This record gives sequence, structure tokens and C-alpha cells, in this order.
Amino acid sequence: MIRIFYHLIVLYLSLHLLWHLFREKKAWSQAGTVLVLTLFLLRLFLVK
Amino acid sequence: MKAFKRTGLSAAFFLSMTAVLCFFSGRSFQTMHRPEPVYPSAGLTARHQLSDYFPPLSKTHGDTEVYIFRGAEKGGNLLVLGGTHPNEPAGMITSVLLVENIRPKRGSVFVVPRANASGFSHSDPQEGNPQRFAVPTPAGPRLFRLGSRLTNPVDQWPDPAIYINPAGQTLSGNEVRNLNRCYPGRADGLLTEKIAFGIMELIRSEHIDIGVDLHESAPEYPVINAIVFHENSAEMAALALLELQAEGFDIRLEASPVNLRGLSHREWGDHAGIKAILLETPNASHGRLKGKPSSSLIVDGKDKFYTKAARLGWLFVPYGEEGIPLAQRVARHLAGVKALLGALAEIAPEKAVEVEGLPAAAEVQKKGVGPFLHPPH
Repeated sequence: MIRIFYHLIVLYLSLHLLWHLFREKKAWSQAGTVLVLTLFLLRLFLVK
Repeated sequence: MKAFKRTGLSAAFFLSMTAVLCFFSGRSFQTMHRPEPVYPSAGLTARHQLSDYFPPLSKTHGDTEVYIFRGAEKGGNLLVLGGTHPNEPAGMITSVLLVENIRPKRGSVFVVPRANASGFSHSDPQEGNPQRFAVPTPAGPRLFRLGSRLTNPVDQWPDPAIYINPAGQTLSGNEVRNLNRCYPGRADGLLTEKIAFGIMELIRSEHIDIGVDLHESAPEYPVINAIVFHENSAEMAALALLELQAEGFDIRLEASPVNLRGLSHREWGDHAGIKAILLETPNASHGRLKGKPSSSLIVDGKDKFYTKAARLGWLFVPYGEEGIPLAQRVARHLAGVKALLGALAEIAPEKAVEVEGLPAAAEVQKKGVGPFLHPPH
């Protein structure tokens, strides 16, 4: 149960990062978002 | 509109970069799930999985190989565990060396080289450790995984804030993934507790007489170069100590504290009644004072910062410029196992375990580990 809850938190944050990626105008900030989003996606799909 | 279009285009570009990063890093992480091959000696009688003793482990990353060597003559049963902590490579390499060399004459030997198989499938975060280390053999380097002290969070997640282990000890949250804090395990617990329970089932169903858990510790940690023993094994550990000291090994005895629960040297003895021993050797590669982590730090064991720390009197072991190589640490474990078997034969001759082909500690120290390993394919 707690695992599903944590998964939902990671999914929410991943979507939030994705939304931020499309709203952000500065390329450097977008590049930084990519680095964070990669980690969240790896955990979301239980790769790392 | 134009600005949004430009932002959208760059976002799409960066999103594709995310996909590329996920693909390559994910592929690299996936390779860590592949166990490196072990080539058993001709003395191997059977190869089981831990799930044969505890079926709920089947098809999980906690399942692991159990190599069984049965001698022609009746005797005792020895269990050797390596890889309880996959960031302590001498334990795993010693187990592999046993699997690839021994031929028991009397009694049986059970070897589990990767006790926490899940821990081998990832690395400790923020340590910068290499994924693998190379042990030189006459036919070329043989690669082994350097894992993490804890179970992979992909297999067991999240950690609680505080962990109360199956023996009732209160510990910090991440210890829930430390196999050597989870004994005697829980049949319906989390993955690490199930692995611990599986090992207890192996001990019970195979009527193990003596269990040896092989570890390493940082040179600044006080329990080092030590035989940690359950009180039911005190006489055997003392005899082994004499034997090891006579061979020139600087080693000490540490009694398993009765109020430190969940560890192999405590719970194996309390819950299965076997003689429970844990051996520790010094390993700079997982200490806090080390320099750059690398394969050569693990294998050669040389680190200038530890040499300096030794000069300042900060360590519990001598640490010169020559370092403490893997060969020396593995030799210590091998000598420890041999001395314990000698002591067991003296105390309980009907439970004696006699093994041929066990690499001599002096030879391993002199020639290195490689000549005693199967050549890599």
C-alpha cells in the first residue's frame, strides 16, 4: 500500500517536472529539469 | 505564440534528451542484474536455489544460488555465506574460491556466494564506486560486481523512518534493507526479511552445524581482523584464534553482544542452535577516509589517505604503503574457515568436516587470488 502511495508521489512529481519543462523559457533551466526528470523516471519505472 | 512555439520545440528536444539518458543509464543499471558466472569444482554435488528452501523467494531478486558439496564420509554440515554485504568483496570472492576449488571428503559444505543477490544489482548512492572490479587471473582479468550494503530499493521500497527488526531491535530506517540486521527473518515480511528467513530455512532443513558469515569492515571500525562468535561457539572460536595466531595472523575474538539483535552471529545461534561465526577483514574501499574509489583500490588495497591515517593512529589495523590487498583479505578468510574446521574436529569429532582442494592461505597471499579462480570466458 505504502509503495503505491510512493509511486503516486513520484508520478505526480514527474508530471510536474514535465509541465515545468514545457513552460520554462530558459534553455539552461530546461536542461537542469532533464537531469532531475531522468532520475524520477528511472525510479517510476523501477529501473534504479 | 512565437515564444511558446520556440519553448515547445526546445522542450521537445530536451524531452528526447531525457529519453536518451533514461535509455543508456537504464541499460547500464540493467546489466548489474546479471550475476557473473561461477564455475564449480568437480566436487559439486548439487546446485540449489534459496527458493528451494523458501518458495516465496522464487522469481524475486532475493533468490540466490546455494552450492552443495557432500563428502563420501558422514560428518558435520558447514554453511559459508559470502555477499551478505555486497560492498565487502573479500567475502564473496572467498566463497567463489571455495565453490571453484573444494572437494569434501567428510561431511558437507554449503556455499552461498551472493547471500543478498538484490544488493549486487545496484551500487551505494553518492559513493562513486565502480560497478565492477577486475581480479587478474593467468588467463586475463575476471570481473565481479561491487554491490551495495543494502538490498536494491527497486526491490524493497520505501524504507520506514524507524525499523523494528524480527528480533525486536529498534534500528534506523534503512537497516530494513540490511540482511545482517534482519535475522531470523519473517516468512511474510519484506524482501530482505524473506531472504533472512530463507537462510534460516536452509540452516534448519540441511541440519547445519556451523555457519560462517564472511564480512569486511573499514580500517577505522573497531570490529576488524576479528572472529565474532556466538557464546555457544566460544571454545571453537578460541581454538581457531590460537591456530590463526600460530600461522602469523593478527586476529582477535569478539563476543556477539546479547543485546545486539538481528545479526547472523546472534540469531543463527539463538534460533537454529548452530555454531555461529562472523569473520571480519579490513577493506579500505568502503571506509570513510579513502581517496578515489576504483577497481585497483579494491584489489590492491592501497590508499595514501589510509596510510596517513594509520601514521596518525586513527585506525584499528596496521596500514602501510603496501596496503591490504584483496589476496591478503581472502587468505585471512580462508585461513579462518580452515582453523574453524580444525577446531570443530577437535571439539566434536563426529561433526568434523574434511575438505580437499581448499587453497592454502600462504599460497593465496603469495600468488594472489587469480591463480585459484577459473579462467574468465
